[in-house]
Amino acid sequence: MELIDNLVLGFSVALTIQNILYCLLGTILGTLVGVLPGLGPLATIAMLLPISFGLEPTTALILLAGIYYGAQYGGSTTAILVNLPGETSAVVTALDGYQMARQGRAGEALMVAALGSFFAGTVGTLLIAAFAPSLSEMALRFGPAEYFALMVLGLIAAVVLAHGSVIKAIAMIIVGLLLGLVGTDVTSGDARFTFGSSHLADGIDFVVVAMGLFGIAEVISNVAGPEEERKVLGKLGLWKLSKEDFRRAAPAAVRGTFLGSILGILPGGGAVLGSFSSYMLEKKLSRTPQAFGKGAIEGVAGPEAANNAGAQTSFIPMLTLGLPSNGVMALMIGALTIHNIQPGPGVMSSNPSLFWGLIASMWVGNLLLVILNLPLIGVWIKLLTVRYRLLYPAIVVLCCIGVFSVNNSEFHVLLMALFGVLGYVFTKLECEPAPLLLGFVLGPMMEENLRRAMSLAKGDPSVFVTRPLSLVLLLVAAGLLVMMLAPAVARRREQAFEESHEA
Amino acid sequence: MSTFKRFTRSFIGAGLLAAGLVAPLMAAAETYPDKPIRMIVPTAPAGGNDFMARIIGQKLQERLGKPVVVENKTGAGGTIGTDFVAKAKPDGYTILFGYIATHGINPAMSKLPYDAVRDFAPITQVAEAQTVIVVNPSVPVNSLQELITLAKAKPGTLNYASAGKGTLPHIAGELFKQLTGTDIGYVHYKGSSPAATDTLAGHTQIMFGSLVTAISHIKAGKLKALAVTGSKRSPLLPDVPTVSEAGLQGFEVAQWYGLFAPANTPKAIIDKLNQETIEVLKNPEVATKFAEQGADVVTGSPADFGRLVEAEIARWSEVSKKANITADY
Amino acid sequence: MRGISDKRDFVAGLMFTTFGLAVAWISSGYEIGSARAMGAGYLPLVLGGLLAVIGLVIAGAALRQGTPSLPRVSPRIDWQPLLAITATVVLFALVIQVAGVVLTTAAVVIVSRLARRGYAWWETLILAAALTAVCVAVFYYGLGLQFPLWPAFG
Repeated sequence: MELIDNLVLGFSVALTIQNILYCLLGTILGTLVGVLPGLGPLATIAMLLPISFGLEPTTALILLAGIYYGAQYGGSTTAILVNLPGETSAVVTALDGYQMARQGRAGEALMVAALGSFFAGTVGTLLIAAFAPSLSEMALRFGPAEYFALMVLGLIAAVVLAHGSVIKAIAMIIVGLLLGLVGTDVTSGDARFTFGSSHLADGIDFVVVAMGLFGIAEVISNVAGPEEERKVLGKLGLWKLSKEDFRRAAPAAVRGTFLGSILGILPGGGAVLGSFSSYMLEKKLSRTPQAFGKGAIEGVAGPEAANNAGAQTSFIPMLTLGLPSNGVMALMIGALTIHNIQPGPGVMSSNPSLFWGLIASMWVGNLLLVILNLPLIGVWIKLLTVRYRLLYPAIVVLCCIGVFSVNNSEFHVLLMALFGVLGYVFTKLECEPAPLLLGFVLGPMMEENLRRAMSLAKGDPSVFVTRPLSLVLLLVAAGLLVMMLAPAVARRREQAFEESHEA
Repeated sequence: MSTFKRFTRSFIGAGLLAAGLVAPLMAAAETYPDKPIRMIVPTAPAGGNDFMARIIGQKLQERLGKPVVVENKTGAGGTIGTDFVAKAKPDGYTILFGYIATHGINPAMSKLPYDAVRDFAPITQVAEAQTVIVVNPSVPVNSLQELITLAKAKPGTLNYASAGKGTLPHIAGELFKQLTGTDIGYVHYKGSSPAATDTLAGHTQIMFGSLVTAISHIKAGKLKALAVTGSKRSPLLPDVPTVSEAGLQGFEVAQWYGLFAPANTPKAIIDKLNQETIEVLKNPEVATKFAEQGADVVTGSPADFGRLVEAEIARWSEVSKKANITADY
Repeated sequence: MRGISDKRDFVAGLMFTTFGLAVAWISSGYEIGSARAMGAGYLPLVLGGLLAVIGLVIAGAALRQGTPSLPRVSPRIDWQPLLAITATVVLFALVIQVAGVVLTTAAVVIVSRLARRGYAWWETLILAAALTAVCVAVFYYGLGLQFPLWPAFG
């Protein structure tokens, strides 16, 4: 079979001592940097790019890919341990992962994240190997209208992230949407809400908002809280997954893998939706949706798997079409062109050893990550036994340096201080920041694609319902909305009924 | 004290003062560089600009004997990094890797915090990159003339993908419309990758894109190349005519790059940097690496480069005025 | 009698309304366009208006409802940690490029420890020294981030 031949070729490339070592180096560096909030894979790869010039192209790519998924993994660790999500997907992991950590179940959370990621990585790799070219053709069917519909679906799903009041969650999503609009409007080129500052011309960076609302605000609340409440963090539990944990986490991971893989293929930014949609799906399917946001293990397993699967499949448009679906992929394309390889449809036939070697190394990298991280869990948990009064200055310093390094800009650090205060106020008003962040991420994409679709259709809005894919997505979104509002309406009527009964 | 004495005294004083001011600068030029030089790249790490800047930086460092540190200060279409250099000390220790956006297009259409001509001392142009006119294979044309005919026959039905307002793919498209009198719509994207994606998928039909982005798709038959926009054919696409060969005059467009220092940097330092950079660019290894980014080495005197900047600003001002494009950063 | 949760929702509602109105007001200065050809101000104007209305609904509901939900968070604002932590971040932003990573990290750690009374000063100093050492090793030497080590003189 051709696939087997190809995989054999791939593993013969990936399993040379040199490539294994660079893969290991990449995953270790990636994990370590990923753990530092704000210093995502983008910064690390950009820094290491010059080093990779001297390597063989396949080895260079293996190193960079290792950093990429290593950093994804490291990012989840910080989200779980100290509620610091350094990237979009980690916001979801933080929701239940951090709550698990507060209940002394950090070990279980980290372990389920590791195993879920490994499973998803394996499936994702197989998918790339078997279907990459046909999947990439499918991805191109997604035009502006389809992306708009997808973003609408994502925004409605965002409501599910909140476990409190639905209407406040909607308000927070809108606040997020509006914050996302700050900066130069892509369609018209006009500056919006920049107050004349060129620092805001490119909008507000995600890391600034996330670190402020989650990281800094959490530190303020924690320091203010009574000593004993903070001790819970340090409780050392047994970190073995119980049968019950496994029974709940495994199906969630499988579903997450499926969702994440599909969304990761879309070059226009579908991957960010992976972890959110998985969380939503799990919460909807669960018999105990009220446990979500309070340390539900499915809420960690599903999104983590989705995230990692998406990270794998986002290589598909890059390798087969030469289209980057995110900043990291753009850097990798840069790395390839430096080695005089033009990523695109030709790579698979002109450089089969590079193509299949990279794919095989992805699986090797995922395996190395699990081997590396399972023992590390013990070390991370030890970190939680550090007294909070010693830990929080470190968190604040890490946030500052991380945010500063995004753009080498002091302005962003000041902005983070503002979002920290805002986050604290939100906590006091019981407004949850997670829906805001999703609105923030999806808002600009939604607006851009909406206006792009309208301009391509010469202002005819029927394009959203005449294109079948877009219609299906919008129908799903509408269905979801009805499902969400229906229980609220029913409850209100029930309440009204009871009240009238009492009267 | 007599007037004469007072005059002499102040004269000598002024002379001393002037000498005091000039001497360190002259001395600085002689010993330059005696500390690391920062080369600011106003665009993202690992992009084409960054890559070229790092090659030049590395080779300059070998020749000057002091580190040349490449720093990315990104934001607002290159404005943040450029403005940083405009306001830096004019001592030759902060220089800019500028390009057509920061010193050609942006000054032509936007109110900027810096003046592209008055705030800078040009050092030298370093490179030029070709642009290519591509269409989705579903568009039934095989030459530039056929495209113009089609656009005239069906006004308003074709769309070109722009990499964002005021980017070269956008403003080149506007120039094309003005020169050919055609009515083609535009759709803005955030950067050239998503623009290329939608042209590849056929959501948009035309793109005035960089050769390096388009080449693999052209070779794979996913995009049709109609013309390159330089004055001569590209060795990468020997069969594709230039725009003037294809019968369109006045459409020579190239993405150019060059080094700038803040205005008032001593001439001796500018000259030294000019000579050293030209030496670096003579290295065939550098030329090969540039070629991989789709760029050809182009050098000249500081004055040559200054003239290019002024000519480009004038040219794009006219195009954007006609097309009614302005933007603020 | 109105419970604590209502007051909170009332304030939250007003906050949303104020924010929404401000956004709508600012965006009315941008090009609005029409639903068919949206300008830069179209979406923010619509969303700002919508947010203002939702805010009013939240505030209104808080006034009407009689049953207070159980407060999960203490409504008291703790000024000391709020100010100290915010000051820490602002201080970092102001001095990092001027003072370099060594002095900045040390200063930031010391200021952050003002967030609560009763922390031992010697513990603060040891912590500042240790964190500074780690940060310099990891970020300056390890990752080569772009900030100075020491203040620049001259």
